[in-house]
Amino acid sequence: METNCQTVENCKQLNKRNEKNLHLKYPASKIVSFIILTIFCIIWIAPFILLVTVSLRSQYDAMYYPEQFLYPHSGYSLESYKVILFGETTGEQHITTGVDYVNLLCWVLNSCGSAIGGTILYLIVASLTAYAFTFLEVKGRNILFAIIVASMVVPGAATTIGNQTTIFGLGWQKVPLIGLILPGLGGVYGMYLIKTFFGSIPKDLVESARMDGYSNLKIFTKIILPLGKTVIFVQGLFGFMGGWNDLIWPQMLYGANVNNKNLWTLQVGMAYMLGKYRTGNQIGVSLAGGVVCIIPVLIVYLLAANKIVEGMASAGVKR
Amino acid sequence: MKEALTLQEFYRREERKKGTIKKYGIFLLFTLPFLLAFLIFFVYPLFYGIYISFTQYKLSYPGQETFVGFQWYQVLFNPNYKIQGKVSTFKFYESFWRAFFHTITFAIIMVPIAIVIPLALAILINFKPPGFKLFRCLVYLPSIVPLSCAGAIFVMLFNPADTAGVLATIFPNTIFSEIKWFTSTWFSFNIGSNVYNVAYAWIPIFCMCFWGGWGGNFIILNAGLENVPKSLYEASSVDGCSRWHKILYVTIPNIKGQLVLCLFTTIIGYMGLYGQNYVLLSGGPFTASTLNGAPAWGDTSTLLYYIQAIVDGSNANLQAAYYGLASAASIVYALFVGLFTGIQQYATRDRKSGFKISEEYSKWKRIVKQ
Repeated sequence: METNCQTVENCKQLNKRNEKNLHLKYPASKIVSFIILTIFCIIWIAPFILLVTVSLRSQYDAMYYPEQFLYPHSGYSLESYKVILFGETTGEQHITTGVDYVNLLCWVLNSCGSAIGGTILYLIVASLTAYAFTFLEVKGRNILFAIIVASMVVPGAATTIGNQTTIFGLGWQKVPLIGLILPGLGGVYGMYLIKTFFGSIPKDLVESARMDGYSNLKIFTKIILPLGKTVIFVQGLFGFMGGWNDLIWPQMLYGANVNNKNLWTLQVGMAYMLGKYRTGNQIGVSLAGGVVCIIPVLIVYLLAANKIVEGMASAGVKR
Repeated sequence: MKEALTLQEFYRREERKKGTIKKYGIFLLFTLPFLLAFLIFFVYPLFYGIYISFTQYKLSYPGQETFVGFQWYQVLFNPNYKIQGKVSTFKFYESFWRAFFHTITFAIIMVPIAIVIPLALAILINFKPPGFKLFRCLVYLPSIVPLSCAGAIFVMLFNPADTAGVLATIFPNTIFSEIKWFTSTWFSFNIGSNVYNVAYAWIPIFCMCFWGGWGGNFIILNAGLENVPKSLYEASSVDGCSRWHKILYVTIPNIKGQLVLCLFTTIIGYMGLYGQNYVLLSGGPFTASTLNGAPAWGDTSTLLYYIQAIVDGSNANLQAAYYGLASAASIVYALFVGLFTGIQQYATRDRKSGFKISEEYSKWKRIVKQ
């Protein structure tokens, strides 16, 4: 395909087209795509609106006016939130099956602890390792790295069972958080991502710092970390969201322990609640839990939406 | 002079030796936490899991397992197998393969959709309409929603009319209010003497995946589109290409790499389908009552559900007696998924985009043609 215009005629044609485009601020293609995208986004956002409005409906309204879900018959009420956050019962006589008290705040704390704690620990461990694999010339380093990277072929399901026996053998299924955080530290993907980015930092920079007598730790904290903060930020966000949204591993650890629900994370608890409270007048409780569940992720996303999107695009990764 | 030289040499060697020891020491210090975690939480459980799959393992009594050879693999692959020649395990065989085909079928339906829809949207957004950054964020938004929250939304939407499902209330006397989405059977068919029920519940699961299952693909494809050189489009418009031809002959060949990456990550993702089925309806309406007692005998149970149903302890008997079976199933699953992951990693090995596989393919094609 030719990239430059070869004949005078072609050039004229091209100029004409360009002029045409310059006259129109919004050509037809932009307007059409704007309309389609607007319709699409309205449909895509509608479930969120329903989530919030129905969670603000009282159980009385849910029983007698189920068709009014955008604006409940007797106004918005925080009844469902009171039930899940503070264990308040509603006191309405006609509700036959009450909602038992579930300690949502405890689950929120557990989820926060495992997501934030796990992410910070992993970032420290992984970036140190990535530094060593990029800037410390040691024999056998590349072979070791190749082995570690090759292990990414193995899906998580193959190791969770072995991990479960380890954690149960240590008795950590009765202890909060440790069993959630520690196995994540062996994850390869984030380390690989950070190492790929570190590889694009010029090696001369590190060499000259070494000439000036910087120690490795100083090079790492003063030069590499400030340069690599984008990738660490992106990996941190993925780590947080992954930890917050994880269902399978916490369920394997704590799911069977129905007597001690305080150990659960939000996802396990929510799945349990959704199994129990799903009928018309009780779904509000599950939805209120859903709102609590989505708020931290939504805050993170709204604060850094563009950064997340661009980071994902540049790293070519998927959560 | 000679002595001095050797002394110098000696010192240099000593220095070098010290230097290498120090180097290795520092390298180890930096990598030790990760390597330890990698060994303890990846390498060890991988091999221990393989070992468990050959034993009768009890989670509450580690160290008291007995070796059973290929028993659990026989259970998975041989319908006529009987444990110790007595206990028939046909149920376990049947539910495993049903879960397998649920997973595969759903992936075959879902993967093309999860590529084409984000591609179309990415092309639309690439026209740069006013506010395209906002659109991009909104389109990606459902993908960050936690599964359980999305589950709550879709339970609310698809609940039957008598429990005030939103869709059933908005559209009374239509298909939405007449079908019990979470409990009814859509249609059933026979293979041999076995009856297979396809549940309506696949529709809510499909909708949930359709709503929040392809945001990552969208972002990657969008980034790929932005990197297509503008001069190519200008050249093609000089040559008189229509808009459709531009998409077909300029856009798609230029984002081949991203397409391959998306294709494989999506396949791998849907092989691990679990959360959607679990939060919506715990693996589905349980209609095949002959399989009662086996793990994952629901109509929408998937492969991961089979493993999870045994090991998560929701059924204490299964966990106590069939732990090794779960391990064997996870090994089979890992081999199956690892194949796809291997191809993906090979195809995207250093550019993190999949040009390589297409190059290899065209090379191979050229050779074949000659």
